[in-house]
Amino acid sequence: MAEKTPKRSARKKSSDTPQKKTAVKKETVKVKKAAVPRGKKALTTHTIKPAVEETKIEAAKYYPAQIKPEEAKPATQVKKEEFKPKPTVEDKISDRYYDNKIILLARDPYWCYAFWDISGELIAAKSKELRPEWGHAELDLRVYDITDIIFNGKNAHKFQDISITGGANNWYINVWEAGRTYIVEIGFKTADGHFIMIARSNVVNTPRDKASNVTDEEWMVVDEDFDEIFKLSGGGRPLGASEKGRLEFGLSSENVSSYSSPVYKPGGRKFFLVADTELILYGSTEKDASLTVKNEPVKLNEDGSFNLRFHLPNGKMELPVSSTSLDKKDNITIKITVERKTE
Amino acid sequence: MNQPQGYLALVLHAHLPFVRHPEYNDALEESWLFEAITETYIPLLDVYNKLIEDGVDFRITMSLTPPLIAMLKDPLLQERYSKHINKLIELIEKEVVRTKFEPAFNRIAVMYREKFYKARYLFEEKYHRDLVEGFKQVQDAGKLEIITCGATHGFLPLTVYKEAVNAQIKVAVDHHIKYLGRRPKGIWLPEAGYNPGDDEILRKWGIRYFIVDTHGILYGSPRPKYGVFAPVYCRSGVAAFGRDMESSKQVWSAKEGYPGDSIYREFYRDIGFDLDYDYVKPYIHESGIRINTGIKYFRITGKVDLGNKDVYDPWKALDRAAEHAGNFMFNREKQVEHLYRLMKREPIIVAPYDAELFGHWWYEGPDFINFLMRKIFYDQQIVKTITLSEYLEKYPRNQVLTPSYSSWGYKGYAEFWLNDTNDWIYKHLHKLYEKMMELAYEFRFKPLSGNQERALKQAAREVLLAQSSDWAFIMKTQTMVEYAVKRTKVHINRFNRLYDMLKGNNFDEAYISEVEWKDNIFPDIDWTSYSL
Repeated sequence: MAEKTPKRSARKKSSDTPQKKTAVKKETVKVKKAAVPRGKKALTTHTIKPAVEETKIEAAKYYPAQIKPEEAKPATQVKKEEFKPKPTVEDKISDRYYDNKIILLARDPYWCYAFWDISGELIAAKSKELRPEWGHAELDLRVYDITDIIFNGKNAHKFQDISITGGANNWYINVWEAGRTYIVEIGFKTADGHFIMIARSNVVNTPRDKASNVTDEEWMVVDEDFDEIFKLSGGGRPLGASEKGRLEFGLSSENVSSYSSPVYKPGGRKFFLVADTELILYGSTEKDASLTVKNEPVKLNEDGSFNLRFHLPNGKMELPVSSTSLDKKDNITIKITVERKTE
Repeated sequence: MNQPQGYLALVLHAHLPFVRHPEYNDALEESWLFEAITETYIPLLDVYNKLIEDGVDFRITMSLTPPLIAMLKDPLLQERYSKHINKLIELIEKEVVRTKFEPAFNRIAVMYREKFYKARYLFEEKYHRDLVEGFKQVQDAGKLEIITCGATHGFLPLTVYKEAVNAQIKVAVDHHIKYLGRRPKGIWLPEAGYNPGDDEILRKWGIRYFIVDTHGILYGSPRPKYGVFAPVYCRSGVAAFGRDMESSKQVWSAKEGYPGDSIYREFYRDIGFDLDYDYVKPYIHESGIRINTGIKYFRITGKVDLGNKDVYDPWKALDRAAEHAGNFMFNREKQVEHLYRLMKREPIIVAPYDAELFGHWWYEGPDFINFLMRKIFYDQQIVKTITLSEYLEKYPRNQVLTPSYSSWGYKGYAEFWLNDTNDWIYKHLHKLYEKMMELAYEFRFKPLSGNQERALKQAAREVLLAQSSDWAFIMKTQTMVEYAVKRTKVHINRFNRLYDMLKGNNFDEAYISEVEWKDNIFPDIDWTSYSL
């Protein structure tokens, strides 16, 4: 159905299992691709604003912690699972409310999202209204375009029925047109076309996907100026089309997730070796002595010991260690030289 | 200075979700705040103050969201930040030693050492741990216009009930007045998410303007005469400013934007991940999980693996930030000259960014702002900086139109916060709104017992906390998903228990106290804001 009438296709989303979700996701991609002729793809290259980068930058605020595999060693016992928030009773929430309501949200110019929670009792009561001669009945969503209408159940500009399958309790609805007003009902639809309404949603307005046709003449300026200012604001291209292009060929999830795993490995292949050296210089002297390493003062631990850690690059390093007694009368200097070579 | 031909309004949106866990010793997610304090909030304050000291006249509009203010004012988090910065200083002292044989690294370590000591000085000595007070001083000096946001950054276009929108605004405005001493003139709508009609609620609480993305104005009806280069009025009389695309792109875009320059510091190479495990262990999470320390030695370099990055040169980077500020200014001059000729009035260029972009993501960002404000003040006379309310005072007469439903998120509408990674939350959120509205209408004119009032207030807090757009955002970006899911569920749960207590008139005082202790945001919350 989706491929044949893409404009009116609805996307099912079951909340049951992850496997099902994946399957549904694939179907969605198909629907979306079918919805736009190939030629329009080029439009996606032009975006009104660089929202991907903004997303990436904002995501950096919530930068995730990382475990390197080599650190999952016995000494530290670091396992990612241990740092997940511990599940407590507070994590459990009921999935059902049985409130017999349906709520509609406008997501963008082309998609709305409905969710509902109908009790078994109401389904049973409503099914009693069905007459056998009407034929087989199924649960449907009826989506109405009620732009500029005070809706009484019958006076919509048009409506579209979507059959609900698989016990779904929410649905993404591909609506006809941007900048319109929609309402949705859930109910029984019979083989001969009767519709028994079970619940009706709130009203939503979808966003426009292009500039308004309404121009207030009192406010108009000379056309060319108007157009140029409009263009400089970013409106100089076929706005509707470009917006739509962006919407139909969205970001795939990998665009977002690729930067969430920053632990790097050199090179493109799996096998790798990293080796580097550090130098630890340690020792002790009188507690009240003053110590310098490479002529710079070093703070002693309380017991007069010291411990310094250096990164050790290639080359020859000289490390004069010098201790002077509190009364400045005694001085001992030890000269250490270290050489690193990497081949 | 001569009369300028147009204005630049830099708008910084400073926000982090409310993350505060007195029940844990070292909550990983609290580091979001600590990193932002060290790298963004303190450096920005420092830039503002130096500009004032040097007599540079500048204007910036900046949102401080209620959760951010609440966290910056919180003694527990202040104490934890104090420990955090002390640990960081301990680590950088070791780094200065460790890098001794490599001058290229050593001088970076020395730079960090200076910055960390300075951060500690400003935090402890100058502001006595109260950074909000620091921003307020810049506000009172007339340089910074501080605006508010949704109470917990709830994404308003996906909120069906007006009462729930009302609560996001009313609670935010009350909180703002309490801590900043004045009513906010403007608001940064969470994610710049605007739904026609929400402006009525803004007007009710005295807010004069908000900001929308470019297409919010361009697709408005009737068509905008001046595009995004002048504000418009909604029918309610509240003004809407539109974001300028050109200046936006110069900063935000990874390809063309300044922050992607190869000279600048690389965000993803941090010693918390790079160095020997035993060495960094005392400075990462107490459980041993590696996290960012903020000490990073490499530059972006180019299109190479993270392992092949070159060493950062702070001085070159500073020069580049100055160059970029000059380039940004030059482009605004040209833009303004051109627009001024067309419009025959001074245009306003509205350039909004996440505040945390500057410093946390783009390390040299605060320096860029510093250079930009100085150059605009000293080097030219075409553009002047302005706050949004100042522009409205100058131009009170504007076109009337209804902006279009829009956001500044990916694709411009609500998809980032409503897709198959996070759509399950809306069923629960709307149930919470319904129940909270029911409570508000039921109890608002009744005399209340102490327990009833405590439970009503706490219930309202839980609804707001569940509503943060950050949770849906994180579920979509797949960064700290378990945490975001947990936060959503926990607040739903806590709300439901409080709701049941109120409906059954049967209170578990120990539980109420516990939740008040954990979710202590908005002590004076007006829970009746869930009724209209």
